[in-house]
Amino acid sequence: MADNKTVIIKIKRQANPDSKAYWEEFELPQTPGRNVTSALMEIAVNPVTRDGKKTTPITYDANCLEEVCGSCAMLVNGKARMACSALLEKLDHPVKLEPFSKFPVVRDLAVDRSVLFEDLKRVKAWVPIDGTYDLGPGPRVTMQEQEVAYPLSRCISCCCCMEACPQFNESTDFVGAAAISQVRLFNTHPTGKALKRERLAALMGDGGIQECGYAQNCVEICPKDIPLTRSISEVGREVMKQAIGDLFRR
Amino acid sequence: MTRDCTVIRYNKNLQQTDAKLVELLQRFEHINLSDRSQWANTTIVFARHLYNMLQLSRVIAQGAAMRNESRGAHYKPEFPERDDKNWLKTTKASFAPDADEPKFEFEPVDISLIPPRPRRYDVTK
Repeated sequence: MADNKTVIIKIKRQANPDSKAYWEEFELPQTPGRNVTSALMEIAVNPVTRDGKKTTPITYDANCLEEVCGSCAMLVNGKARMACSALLEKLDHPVKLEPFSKFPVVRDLAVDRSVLFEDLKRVKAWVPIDGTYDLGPGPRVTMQEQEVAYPLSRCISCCCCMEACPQFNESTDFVGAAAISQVRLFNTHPTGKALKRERLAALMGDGGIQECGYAQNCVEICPKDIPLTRSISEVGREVMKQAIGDLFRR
Repeated sequence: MTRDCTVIRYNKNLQQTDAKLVELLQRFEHINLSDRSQWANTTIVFARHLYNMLQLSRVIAQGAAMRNESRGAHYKPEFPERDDKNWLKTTKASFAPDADEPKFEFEPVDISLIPPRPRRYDVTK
């Protein structure tokens, strides 16, 4: 097969969380419109590396294949993005796939992103209704409020913003832009407002909003174009207001 | 399945699809695993799903073949009209483990409140 008719994919693999990482190269025939996830499926059909060595299929997370579930996030050519929306023909070749570097690797390209869920729990990113009895219709949300809230609600928990953030690391314990943006979403929600003080309090102290270094990588990398820096500044203002207020309330 | 069991359905193709599924189910008996590791093995997950997917595909193919009419989104060029007399009923499939194939029964639709009428878009009702 002619060289210009194939794509070469280099994949950083790791058998389990404790073993060492290694690289493997695969060569696939070029297919129009193929994305990274379907290339990984194609590799699974016949898992043989470029130099003819038999290997195992790549382990990776993927579900919806249309950039709404947030599970197939990985480093594609070093950039954090969704594998399903990364079309091979639009990437630089050879294509390099790596798991996220700031999350523990489960195997190959699958990483454990439960830190985001812990962060969302920490900031109480939910509307506090327990569903045990009928509360009747909720308060009306104006069109203007909806237009602010909707882009925030598009977050798919892919963790790209956290991977790209220079402040998101072990020494800061920073919650990351996604969780802060969810604080803004639920603090603007008419019923979610009930937990506003608790959410803002959760963003004070270690790993809180003050860890943000204004690198703005998050908003640059976000696959869903969520105005993350806007959220950080709005929430930062609220946190500051509450922190100063707390000084006088005691 | 994608070619023969979606919107436009021909009985002949549906029968061929079912025959192919039977063949695949036989091949499933001798399936090989390309990954035999113990940790985060997605191949075994897929292999475990595959049998169920094949059985469910048979439900779709056979259920479609039985129904000689065009209803809703499904169109059989050989039977372009909706047939309320024979097919105003719900197809119910269950798995028959002994025969290793789907078993079908039909449940009539409750039309006591609203009698069905032809769905027409060229006239107002």
